[in-house]
Amino acid sequence: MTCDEIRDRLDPYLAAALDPKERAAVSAHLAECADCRADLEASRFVADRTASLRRDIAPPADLWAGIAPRLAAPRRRLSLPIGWLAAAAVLLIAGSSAVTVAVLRRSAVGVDPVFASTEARYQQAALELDGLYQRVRDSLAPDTRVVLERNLAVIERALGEARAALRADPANRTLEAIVVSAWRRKIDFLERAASIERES
Amino acid sequence: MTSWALPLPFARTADAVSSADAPVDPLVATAARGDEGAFERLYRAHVGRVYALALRLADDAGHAEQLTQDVFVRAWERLASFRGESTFGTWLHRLAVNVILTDRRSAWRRTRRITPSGDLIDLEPEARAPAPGVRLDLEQSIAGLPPGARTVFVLHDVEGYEHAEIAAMTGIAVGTSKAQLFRARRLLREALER
Repeated sequence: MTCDEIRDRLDPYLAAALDPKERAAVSAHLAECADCRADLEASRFVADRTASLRRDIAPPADLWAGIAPRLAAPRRRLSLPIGWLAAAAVLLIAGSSAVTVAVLRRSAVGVDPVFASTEARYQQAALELDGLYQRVRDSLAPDTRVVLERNLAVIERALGEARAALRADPANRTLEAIVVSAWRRKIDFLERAASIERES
Repeated sequence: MTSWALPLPFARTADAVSSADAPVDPLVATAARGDEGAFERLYRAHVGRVYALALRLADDAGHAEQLTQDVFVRAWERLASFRGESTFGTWLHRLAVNVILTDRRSAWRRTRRITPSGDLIDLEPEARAPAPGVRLDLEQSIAGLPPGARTVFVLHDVEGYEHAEIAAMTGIAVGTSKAQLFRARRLLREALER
């Protein structure tokens, strides 16, 4: 048997689920092949530990509060199609890239330039998506606006805290990743807010 | 799903019926008729499993929370299409995997879109070795895997999907799924034995 064929049989081999002939063939191969033995040992090692992983983990906060308002969203669509909004966002982002590159070059002192470039573009995209949201904001029910903007405030507060932490420790890659994640949440949220169905 | 008996975690299959499944069928039917109260009870019965999946596949806890919310909103939208051919938990889990993987693909496309040069800047943090002498637990080690290896490991070894299913869900080849799984297992062993 080839190494690929052996690897296909390592899990049943560990589970003693192979017939005797096949088991003997796998054992013979393992005796000769250090690479497959390493895979077998890694599989055994990890299987013992993975068994202890929890399949249910309670989220740190009740997420229902962020779900319920989205269930109540009305069905009628905006007069601006989502595709138009997405296309507009792309054009706006692309059109502004030269400006944002110039901005980031001034502001990237002490920060990884690739990261700074990325963050500047996220910033610009968020600004432009926010502009799109403002265009549809007045068509939303007051309660919907309140929920959207309260959630946006939470996201912006988290983003602000992450950026502040990164300014204090600009070489920290984990903080960079957290900032990027926060920007992504903000942009995702704004994309959804800008394309939310209008209250009837 | 695996047809032969294996010790945990391999015996865990995504078709396994959770304790929350048995009594919820009438609840699912009620929720499918638009009863938000019934759907909230389904949420409370299943949120832990969805969040655990999202937490292991997402980059951070905040993103996992957002994805968990997205999964339940999508479930609400699609509930009328649930035919009862599997348990609600199985259906929801499959939906959760799809939502999470779609989000990852969208993030990747967005990353390309906002890069004016057309070059892809990888915003996903690469797997990095911990500082010397730092011992990691299994969850930390899984979180430290490269994204591709982590996805396959979580779906196969934790959630019980077969390589063919993983290939279909992620768009990679079956052989790639297998290679990523063994890569993940070796990396986890190295991280945990360090």
